Amino acid sequence: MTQALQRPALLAPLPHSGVTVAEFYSMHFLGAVFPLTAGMLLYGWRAALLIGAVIISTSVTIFVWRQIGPRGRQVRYSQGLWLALLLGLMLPAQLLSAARGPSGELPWLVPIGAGMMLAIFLWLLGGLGAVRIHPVLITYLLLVALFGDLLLSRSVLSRDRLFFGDVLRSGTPDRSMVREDPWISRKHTSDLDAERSESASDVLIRYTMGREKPPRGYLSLQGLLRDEMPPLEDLILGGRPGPIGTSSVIAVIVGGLFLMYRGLIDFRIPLIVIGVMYTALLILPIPTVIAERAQWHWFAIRVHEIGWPTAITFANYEMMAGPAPFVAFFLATAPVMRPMARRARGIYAAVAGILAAVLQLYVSVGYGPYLALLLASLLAPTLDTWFRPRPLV
Amino acid sequence: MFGAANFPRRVWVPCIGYPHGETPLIKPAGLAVSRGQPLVYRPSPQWHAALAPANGVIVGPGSAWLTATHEVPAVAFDVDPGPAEGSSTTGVVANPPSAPPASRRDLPFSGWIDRLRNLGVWADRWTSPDLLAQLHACLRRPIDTVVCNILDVDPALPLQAMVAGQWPAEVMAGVATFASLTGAGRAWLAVSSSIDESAWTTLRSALSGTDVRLVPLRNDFPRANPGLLMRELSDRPLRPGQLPPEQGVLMLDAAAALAAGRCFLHDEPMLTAPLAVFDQITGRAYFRTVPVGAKLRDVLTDIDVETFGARLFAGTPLRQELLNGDCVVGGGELTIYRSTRIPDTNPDSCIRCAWCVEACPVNIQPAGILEAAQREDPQLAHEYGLEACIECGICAYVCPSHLPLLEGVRTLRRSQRNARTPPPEKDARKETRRNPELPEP
Repeated sequence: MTQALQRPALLAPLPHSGVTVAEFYSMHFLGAVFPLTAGMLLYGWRAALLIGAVIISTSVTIFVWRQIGPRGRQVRYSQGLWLALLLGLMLPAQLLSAARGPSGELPWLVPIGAGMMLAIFLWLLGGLGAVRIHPVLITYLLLVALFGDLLLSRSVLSRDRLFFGDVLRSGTPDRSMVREDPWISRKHTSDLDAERSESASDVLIRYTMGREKPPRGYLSLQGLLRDEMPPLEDLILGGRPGPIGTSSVIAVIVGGLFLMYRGLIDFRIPLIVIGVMYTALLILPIPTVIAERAQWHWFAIRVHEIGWPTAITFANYEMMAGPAPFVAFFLATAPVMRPMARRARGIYAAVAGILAAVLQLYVSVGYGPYLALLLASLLAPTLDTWFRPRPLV
Repeated sequence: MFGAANFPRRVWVPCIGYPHGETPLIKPAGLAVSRGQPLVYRPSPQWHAALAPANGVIVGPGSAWLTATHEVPAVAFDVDPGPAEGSSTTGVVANPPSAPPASRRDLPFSGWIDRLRNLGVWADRWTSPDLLAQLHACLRRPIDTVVCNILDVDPALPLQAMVAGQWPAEVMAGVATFASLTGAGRAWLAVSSSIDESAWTTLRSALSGTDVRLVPLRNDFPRANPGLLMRELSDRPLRPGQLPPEQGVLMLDAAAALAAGRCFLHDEPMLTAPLAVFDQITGRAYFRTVPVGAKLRDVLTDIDVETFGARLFAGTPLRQELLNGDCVVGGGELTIYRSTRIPDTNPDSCIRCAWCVEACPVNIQPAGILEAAQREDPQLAHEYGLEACIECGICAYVCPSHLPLLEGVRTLRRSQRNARTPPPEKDARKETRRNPELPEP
């Protein structure tokens, strides 16, 4: 008697999920599609070309470096391309310009050099599996040290010139219009493609470092938020100049949620980084008033003139103006950096959050979170040693 | 329904429970033995009886593979041609009794253990730890729960559920009698909550009049593992290698309960075992009752499944428990998967994705254990949770780098076992245990 049952499931002959290292990184790429798309819309074709330049230069350098010794073969295209995309998202679109910079540099060489540096760092750090420091962070911070001014964003496309506009054809819109109307509803009056303005991160860091020179000799925190900062929705959508991938906070969050949904990142890390950083921003001393000199206060919430609404609005601006959400979702969760043990990840994320708040308030809004993450990642191997798994049985 | 497999011409009846280096005293070659009679001279109390699955003739000593790496002594036995007698093992007994006959009810627990052993009842597989070792352990410490594990490792190949559905009275009798013998206050049948209504009704009706209780559970892999099941049912920790009685529980699966139930009710020896085969190449599943000692090659040939160029897995492919055509059927793994040969993959370096950590059902760090295996560092492996690993294979399944994580665990455990095992006995001692009636080699 032949008795056979048809069974629909488990037909795959291999006892393996089929997901390879290349697919692992390509799934990450799908998460990055959201900030990438937002960046290309906000900064136009120059953004697309810049990211392409970083990716191509990384690929070519990897091709060369893969020929060099056994360590060269450890450098994988899939990992390199993913990291190149991340690096591209952290750069401003105006780098793709033929005009010389303030010190006579050629900005368009920066993305190409960045891609090459990234590949070289990957090789130096040992390639796939050996890296414990994020090559993108080192490359970016090195770029900041070498070309700090070139990495400042200055303009963003007008909403009716999305993607097709040239981000370098920019003009300065009326200041009152910028303050009152959000970018999404602002009427475009000139024939230029982009709006030039100071980035929110520059305004914030000047204030929190106490370097702001108020025009009338007095500037309170409320005054800063009311008169100097753009509408918060500009920062959420990306209507203020910034790096390609980190400007649109909403796109970054959607991309991060996608990564969580696919199980590629641990939800605790971004949650803790952002939560701790937000709390630290409310606690750490900030200037509540800048007159002849800045008056600093811990717990700005408890200062009578500030109160909850202003302190929380300030923390919101700090969170949105810098790359903190991008760092929390796309970099802090990187396998090369975060600890393996679950409990260790919580501490790592908390440390990263505190450092990010400190460095963002007192060093730089633009690259403070990157530096914070680099410092926190140095703790990861130690945390992995301290926190061994707790087996269930 | 389970179909009866044809008896192969020759079977290799495994002799289970013999210590390393010991050989059984096998009856002389050429001796005709009838069905259910022992093939070895009086076994020691620790050794299981090897019984003739049908009428036939002893060929001589041999060896049988339970898995691709586990070899035991065996008796080669030629089965007489013609229909096998006493095929009740493959069929359903009409209105079976629900308790052992009155004449044997006053038999002590140790007497029942001897009886089970003499009737060749044994089970030692992933879902049902060594039955006789558990029963001996039950003599030493109190048991409060008997658990019959009807959860199938792969719900799509429901061997345990089918055994319980086809022979509910025998399974219930096995569980209820064990509960009564051990004095356990609770007897539970752990079943998948997704079993169909008819199976549910069958089990419920079989349970009527007994103290056995149905416990529906979500059957997601690898919940059928005794450690996880015990954690789920009674929140007691059971480390791999430990026997459930150490935590006050006797655990067996439906196939083991069936073999024991038949012994209790009808004094029937365990001469066949239910077997499920899934052919991943054609997508077909086969359910058979197979003589103990039949080689898998013969069983698969009987059901027209080609073994050449294929790879056989026991339990579930995830566990990567490899078999070959020479492995024999018995009280070991009862679900067999046939798949195409897996092409060799060159593993990448660990990218620290931590998928193995996230997927691990017992919260250990498989990548760390592999690192410890590469460094040959047992202390590091201990810190990463080696002792808790249940070898479910999920880590190796999800690893994007194709790292041999499960192999790392097994390598470490093998080396630890080897370090503990004393060197083999001298050959001279083996000679003294040889059966004088056997021809010289």
